[in-house]
Amino acid sequence: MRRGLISWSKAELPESALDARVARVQAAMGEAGIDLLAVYTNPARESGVAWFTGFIPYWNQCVMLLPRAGRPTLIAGMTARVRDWIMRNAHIEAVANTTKIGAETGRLIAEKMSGAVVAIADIDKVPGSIVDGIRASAAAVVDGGPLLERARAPADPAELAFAFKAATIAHAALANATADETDAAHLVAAIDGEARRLGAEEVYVALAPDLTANRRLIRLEGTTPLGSAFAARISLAYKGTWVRMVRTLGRDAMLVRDVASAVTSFAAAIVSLPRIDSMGSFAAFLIEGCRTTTPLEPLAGTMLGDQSAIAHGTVVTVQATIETNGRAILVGAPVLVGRNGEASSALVAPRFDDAG
Amino acid sequence: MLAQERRERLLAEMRREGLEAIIVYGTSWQEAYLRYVSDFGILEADGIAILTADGRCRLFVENAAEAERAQVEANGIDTRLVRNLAQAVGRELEAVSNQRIVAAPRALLPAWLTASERSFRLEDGAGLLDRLLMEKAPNEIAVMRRAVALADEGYEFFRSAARPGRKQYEVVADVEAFLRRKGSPDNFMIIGSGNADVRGMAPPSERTLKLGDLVTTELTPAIEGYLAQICRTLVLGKANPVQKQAFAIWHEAMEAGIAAVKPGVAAADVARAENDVFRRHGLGEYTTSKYTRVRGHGLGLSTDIKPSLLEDIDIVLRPGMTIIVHPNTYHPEAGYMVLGDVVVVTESGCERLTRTPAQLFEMSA
Repeated sequence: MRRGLISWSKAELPESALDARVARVQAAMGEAGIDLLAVYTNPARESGVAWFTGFIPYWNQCVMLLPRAGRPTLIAGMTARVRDWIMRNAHIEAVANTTKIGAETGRLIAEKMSGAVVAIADIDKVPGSIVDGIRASAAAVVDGGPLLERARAPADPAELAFAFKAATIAHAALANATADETDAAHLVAAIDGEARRLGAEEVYVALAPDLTANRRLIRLEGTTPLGSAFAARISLAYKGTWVRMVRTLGRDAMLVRDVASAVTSFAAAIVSLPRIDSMGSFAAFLIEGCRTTTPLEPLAGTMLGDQSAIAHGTVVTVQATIETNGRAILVGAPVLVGRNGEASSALVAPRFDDAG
Repeated sequence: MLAQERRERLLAEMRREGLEAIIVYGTSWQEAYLRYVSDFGILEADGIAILTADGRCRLFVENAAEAERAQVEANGIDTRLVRNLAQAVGRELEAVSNQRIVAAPRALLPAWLTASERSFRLEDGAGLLDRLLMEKAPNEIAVMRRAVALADEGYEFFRSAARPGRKQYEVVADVEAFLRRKGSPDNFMIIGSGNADVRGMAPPSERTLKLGDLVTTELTPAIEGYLAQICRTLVLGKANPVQKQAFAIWHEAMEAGIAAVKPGVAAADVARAENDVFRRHGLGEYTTSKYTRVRGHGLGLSTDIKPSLLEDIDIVLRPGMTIIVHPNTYHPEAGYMVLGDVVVVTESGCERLTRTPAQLFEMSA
């Protein structure tokens, strides 16, 4: 559920940028013989529809239908009372409000394009009730994920700008944390509040409250004392674009030196992305990104058995656990993956005043 | 432990109904079923838990950060990070494919799991889970009481944060930080500000609060996964006669709704009691879906569990249900107004848990 700033800013995401994305996908649909593209969205899977329309559901679920020509239509699970809010915040042709999204989507397809070939983005992840509704009216249903993935890479300037803004907010929020904090709840409040005040759409703060005991980043409830070394990760969205950033802090001068060293190692390793061999010396690493409709999808890392392709010209988030002088330092930042042999680069370096 | 207690209740129901397994799906806006079974509060992507009759619970998630959290937060539950959630769960279900399996909410399961070519059949199990979610055990109600108290505190803070010149999202940011300081990890909140131009609440925008605005909010903090809500309206300044007269109707409607809450009555009866007040005042039009979603709803492991308080919902109220009664809707002259209190259904009626006065608040100087 979203409760941060949600509003379509036409200054940051002009209609022409959305029209260009739609046109790019429609051209690919034509080449592939696809009449309609259906993209599912809910607050945890917002990245597809937000990319096409700027729309972000604060709760509930929706389906976007994109024909081969013209603007998309939204079939939304919210009642008609929020119709005006949706129309203000989405670059769409129309919205239909219904509690039976699958059936209504099927009805619209039958009414406007009976016998259509429909591609559903990430079909395996879309609720069965919606896929069934579409199947009932379509001549054929195919997976639209690969088509959408190709259209989204490399990221366009508007998407890069959102990622950079998100990274800037993440850095400012983590900079609001102080090493002398002793209460986890107060640390989380300082980070969370700052990110929202800077315009984040949603914020999740996870902590490893005592790195000497456990390196896992978790969501805490109630009061938890912070150890002498701890780490904070902020995951946040700015207008549908998600990033993470990780910072290690502590009340120990030696730790400050080790953090600076780990950040330097991290910066050196990300340069060669999409190649990941330089991460091999880290105790653990994780690379996440958005390929189609899901934000921060795991692409590569020590937790994963296999690796997905990391596309040139896209933004990924890299997290690493780096052993330095026998202790774990957690570092993370969003990275723009280089194109045409260019080096990859952190959007904002995960470097803070106390870490050199 | 509350999570274990919930799982034992569910296992007893499964034994009674002859079920071998239940699978529950969760995502950030439909988290209740997954939380009930696994005690994991999912935030990112999707998760599915399988609980088998032998008490074994497995949790499958597709987001790496969630997998890391779940390994600690979902105490003792076998957690797996998977690439394809549906197929990973499907492989597990094949082992019990010749037995009765129910799923909740079945309609939201990935299409692959409900396809006809699967070797297993998933019946709809939402009714079973909904009953448990609605009719809370005493320990669950004890947590709800704490969550309602935090909602009261949260609203008091909200009144101090909502000041002319501030933007909606800045006010919400301050409230979120307040709740985090109190140790609450989650909250659901929407807001409205303005006058007759405002038709409802929404996520916060850049709109600046102004003197004379009606500021409405629905604030819903969580404790141990249980969410409690408060709805109140604040005037930035002194309330004018139109606002006062309108609010009196909202107050009368909420009190009428609460007076109707007792075991054995239908959710529809409560909604009707609220709406009859509006109809008596010539505002019946504003009780329809054009202006309002529901006249209240259940609360618990989600911001919005059954029963919805609507005139066509025949779910019968039973002891242990926690409900917010909120006749929130639009007034043609004053604008959108909200008022809502949480009650728990008792053996003989209901107990109001909300302590914040049911009044139209005015900004103090």
